[in-house]
Amino acid sequence: MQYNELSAAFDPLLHDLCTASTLAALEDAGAHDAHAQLWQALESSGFLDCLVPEIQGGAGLTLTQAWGLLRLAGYHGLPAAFATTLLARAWLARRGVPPPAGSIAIAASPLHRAGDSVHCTQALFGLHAHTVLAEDVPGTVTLWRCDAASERTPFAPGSLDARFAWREDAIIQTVTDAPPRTPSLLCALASSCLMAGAAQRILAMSVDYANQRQQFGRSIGRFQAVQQQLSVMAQLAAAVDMAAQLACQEDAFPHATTTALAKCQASAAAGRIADMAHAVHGAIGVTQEYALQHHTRHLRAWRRCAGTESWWAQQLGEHLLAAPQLRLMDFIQAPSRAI
Amino acid sequence: MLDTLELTEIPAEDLALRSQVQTFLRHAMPSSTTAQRARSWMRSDPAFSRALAQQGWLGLTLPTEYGGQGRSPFARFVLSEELLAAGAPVAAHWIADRQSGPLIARFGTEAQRHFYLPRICCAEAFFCIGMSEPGSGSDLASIRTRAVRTPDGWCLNGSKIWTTNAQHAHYMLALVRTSGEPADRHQGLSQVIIDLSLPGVTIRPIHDLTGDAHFCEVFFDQVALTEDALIGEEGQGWAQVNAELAFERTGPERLLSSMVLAQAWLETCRSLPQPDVRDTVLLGQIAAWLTVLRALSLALVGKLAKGQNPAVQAALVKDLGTTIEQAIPDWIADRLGSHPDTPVPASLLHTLSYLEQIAPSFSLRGGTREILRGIIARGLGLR
Repeated sequence: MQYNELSAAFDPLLHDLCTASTLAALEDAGAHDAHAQLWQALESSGFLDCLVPEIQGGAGLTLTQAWGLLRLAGYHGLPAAFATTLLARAWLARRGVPPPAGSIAIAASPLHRAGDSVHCTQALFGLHAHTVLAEDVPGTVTLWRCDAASERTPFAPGSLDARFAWREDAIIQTVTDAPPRTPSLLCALASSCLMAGAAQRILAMSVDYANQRQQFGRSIGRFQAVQQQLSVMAQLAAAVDMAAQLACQEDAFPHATTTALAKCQASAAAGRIADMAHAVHGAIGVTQEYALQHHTRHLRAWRRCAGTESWWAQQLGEHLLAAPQLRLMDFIQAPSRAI
Repeated sequence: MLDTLELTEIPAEDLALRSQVQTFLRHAMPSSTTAQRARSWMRSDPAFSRALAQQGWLGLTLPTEYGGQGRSPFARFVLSEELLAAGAPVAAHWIADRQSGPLIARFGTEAQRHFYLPRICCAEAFFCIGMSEPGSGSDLASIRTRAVRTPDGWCLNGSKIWTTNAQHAHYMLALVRTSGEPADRHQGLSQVIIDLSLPGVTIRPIHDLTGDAHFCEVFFDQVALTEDALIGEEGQGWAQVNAELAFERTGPERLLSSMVLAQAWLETCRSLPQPDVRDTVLLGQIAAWLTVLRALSLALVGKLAKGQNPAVQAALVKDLGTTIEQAIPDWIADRLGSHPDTPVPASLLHTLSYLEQIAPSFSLRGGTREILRGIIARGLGLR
């Protein structure tokens, strides 16, 4: 990975925080103390407000400058609502809404109401978060207190995401006139950047393993069949990385087109990267003890979060069909301006 | 591990070229079918190349003292992208402009630069590349074509094959053995410029499966080359060829080979009364892939502009780009065939048929997939 100064400052902190035991421990919904400690370290680092404008107490960075932090969180498998909080705080601050204290999870799809309950089927990093940001009725974004939830359960076994149910009085704040599907786009943006980092980590682990593991009297990395797989992984990882960079160009994020593009690419590559990493690692890769599994499980979970490649490709396709004069070439040259 | 390829912007002065090229193409593009346009840098039209030269668009990156424009690699990227997207017939000058000219500018003597470069810039010198031989494909270092010193220069014997557009070219920039034996591998190889009008040169076009004849066999029988046919240093041919391949592998032609087809299919989809959601998904998928590949390709141009030689990353982007170029006709064929009772417009079908047939060559030309993946694996640090 190439670092700008910001990433270079964040990397050692994550290196210390994201040990294999922390990654394992925080998959338990009851790990309150471990999470509190981790979150405190992230708050003290100051990075969480880096996208908040200076006048509102943040560092006033652009997403282009700061996106490497999100990628690093994915690289290290940071098991806390870092990416979602960074983006949610920035989005709220830019709309003049003071962000709530603590960590913010983001709902991958709109809320729905049943009886006197409000339901959220998946909040990205909701397992330990303090607040959930969600799309309510179209155009309205609401914030909900996690500790007031009538129900909070892990989204799936081993997941850092959660399902929630609330009574109406658990609402903290309402933001009106939000562009449609903003929380879903924020989830897609966050997970695309996280996947870019996770892909690099998985590639690095696989290259190291292929160089170490000896069979037939030589390292398995000397076999062409293994080299070809790792070469394809490197290509997919580079594509995911570039797609995420494209989505982080806009000051007014989340941008509907480039976010769709990034999530489409990252999701399409996620399963293939994970599969090839496991093929290279052999049986050790599917053990709980070996760290690869954290990263490949993240990759597959983020692939599904807020829509897989098919959903996001359909969004892009609809844009292309709806713009009769637009050449495909115009789109690929400037996806954020073409539509 | 490899450096990240960073998102790179085209400088404004180079971007300004885009609308000029588009305006030019609106009136200067020869009339052609969609299937002809899909051939783009495989289709030779010397008159069109001369029209581009009159605009100053050949040898854009070559120094001004040799007739070039002294522009950046970004300017050439903008120009190439527009020409390829339009399916312009650029084959006649393409090789000279892309790699022979830059190679002569870098390794040539002052006299060679003054002789060849102005001619390249006026579309009077078209080049082809003499690398592969009947017994030497991916194993390029095993070539046997040999130039032997004579009192006046060199005597050339041997043959080259798969030489794209040799029948339309004036010169071949060839890798030949000037000392030692094939077993000496990378030692003893040199690059020479061969005037293809010389006695002893025979060019035989090879018909491909689409009916086109874009590549050729070229035979050399006692061809007398003058002393100054040697380009660069004697014995340094291998290093020079590898520098040349970086130019060859970084261009947008490594991702746009199926662009004319994709555009034609998009227009067909737009004309349908009710879009099929599977078509819509595939359109988005193609757009996403091409956008990312184009950004990766541009990141390589950024590295070239900084004077770096991103050989490993170029191999990576080329392999990925050709994978997608090859997949696009296959994907579109399946979509069109999923409604077997709906007729496919003839021009779309002809374009698709051409690309289905020729697509396997995309990952052969400029270095095979298997060789590129070996280069990438070494770059990743596998040992």
